[in-house]
Amino acid sequence: MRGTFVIASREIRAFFVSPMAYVVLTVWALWSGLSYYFFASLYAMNGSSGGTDNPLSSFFGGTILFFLPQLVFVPVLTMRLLADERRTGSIELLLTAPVSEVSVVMGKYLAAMTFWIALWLPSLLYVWITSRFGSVDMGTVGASYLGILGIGFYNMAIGLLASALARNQIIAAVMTFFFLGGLFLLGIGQYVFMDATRDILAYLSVWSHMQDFSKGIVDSRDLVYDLSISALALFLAVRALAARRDEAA
Amino acid sequence: MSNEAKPEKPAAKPKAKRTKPAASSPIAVDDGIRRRAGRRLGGRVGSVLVLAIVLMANYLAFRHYHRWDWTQDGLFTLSQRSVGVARALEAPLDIYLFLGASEPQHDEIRELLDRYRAESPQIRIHEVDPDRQQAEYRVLADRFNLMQGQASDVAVLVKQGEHTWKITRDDLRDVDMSSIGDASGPTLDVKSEQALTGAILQVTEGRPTKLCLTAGHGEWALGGAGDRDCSAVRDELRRDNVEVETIATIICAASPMAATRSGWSAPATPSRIAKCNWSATMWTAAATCCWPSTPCCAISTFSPRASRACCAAGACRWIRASCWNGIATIGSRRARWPCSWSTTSAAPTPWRA
Repeated sequence: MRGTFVIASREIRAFFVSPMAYVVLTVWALWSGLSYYFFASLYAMNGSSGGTDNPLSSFFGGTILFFLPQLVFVPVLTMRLLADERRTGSIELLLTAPVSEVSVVMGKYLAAMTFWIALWLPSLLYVWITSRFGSVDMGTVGASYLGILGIGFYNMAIGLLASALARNQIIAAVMTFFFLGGLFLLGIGQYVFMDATRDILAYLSVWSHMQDFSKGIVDSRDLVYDLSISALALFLAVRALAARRDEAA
Repeated sequence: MSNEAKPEKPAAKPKAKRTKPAASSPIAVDDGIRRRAGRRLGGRVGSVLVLAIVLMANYLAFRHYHRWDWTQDGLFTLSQRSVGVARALEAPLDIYLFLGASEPQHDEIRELLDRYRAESPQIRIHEVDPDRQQAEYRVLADRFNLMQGQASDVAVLVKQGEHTWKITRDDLRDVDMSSIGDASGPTLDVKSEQALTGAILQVTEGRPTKLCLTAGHGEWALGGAGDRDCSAVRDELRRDNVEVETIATIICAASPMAATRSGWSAPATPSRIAKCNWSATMWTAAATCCWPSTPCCAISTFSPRASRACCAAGACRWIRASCWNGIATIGSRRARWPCSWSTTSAAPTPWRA
């Protein structure tokens, strides 16, 4: 457990002392700010039909503006986690250190989740701004952030798995992009297919997950899916690391 | 990160140390290979097991799920009545949704159906888009007799066994007639949950719903003469598991004796008479509601207002019988025969919890 926290804190420090952290955070803040501005002005002009129809619901998963940037930002955040260790050779040091593969993977994952949360913290500002000009349902906001945490769990786990499998950062980023892009495309299939196929694709769809969460609905299916896919990806990452340790031995 | 690459060389030493004794002893080499092969096999078996567990967990989550409504106003929470009806289902119930994905009510109804489904795994939802699945829709339209001429207004069909109940698009929403003149436009009263729960009750109750037509004061009657014949209503409603009967209304009796003379089939107890004498202006409907031994739905072409008031107090459900622009509507069904009676403008509650 201690090893996990040591690795996580080392990773977080390494990330936040690098200029990349600030480039990513700035670009993300610009993107999300523009998205929020777009929705706020749209609702200011057209009004809301009431209920959960408001700028925050649209911002948190109502449109493609929420999902497309994730296909870029998640690979950028996760590509270096293990692939960079391999490139620099420090992975050998890590594997011979008295920490288990589970500690290494969980430490990296904890760091990745910290990046993810850091990305979304500024969005609390939009909640505050909206509450100044209209009523905000805090239950819906809470559900939206739970949804963001849920998709963060599996986005980061998939990114970490790709980073564990890839030989370098570029390949890790491309693999993550294709994994997440594939899942996103599968989700779009719910609007193409019908009946049972539609239900299965809706179950896999990050889009329908976030649409529920952003309306204030917390569905056990979404939680199970997010957590189980994260657990599977993390397990496979541990196995990939263990296989590498075996090779080294 | 790059400055940590230097300590790599010292790390190679213990590795070399580990391999040396192995090379000197064939038994140690065999053990090492065996251990590594064992670890690999264990890893593969573990991966398959974890994959199986993940698939199983997702399958179970897909089949049995729960939805929590975190909105402050409980916007996505079913009423206790609807939850009770859904949980009481003992046999599979099929719900067919015949709304196209582009229709404004589609997402709302689909979400509502998911809420019912979350309460009972007996509910099976089938979505058929009339525009995109034309062949399938045509088959179902023929099977369930959905078409009225070239078009169908049926949005949802609920089926259990041989019983079916249709919900039209108009049943899902109602225009508040009093708001038609408002500057902000007419207000829509969303009543889809009422319609769905009512439909489930209709198909799950073993006996058909009884509909009692008041008679005796010039109302339309079953087998009546000329234009004032309601037989078409009975034929239409029979397909929806509704039986229509006529009940001759009487003037409320002051004593049990008088009540018996007036044709009451049930004993005229003081409470029945009290109910019947409830209001002089409501006597027609009160008589309808008070005495059938099984609760019935009262429709009155004579006094809709009185029927509604009676049903609010009695053990029966109210079904609206309205007449707009000369076309009759009984409950959810729009009839194809002309009518002339006047009706109330306020939207009544279609079923009583």
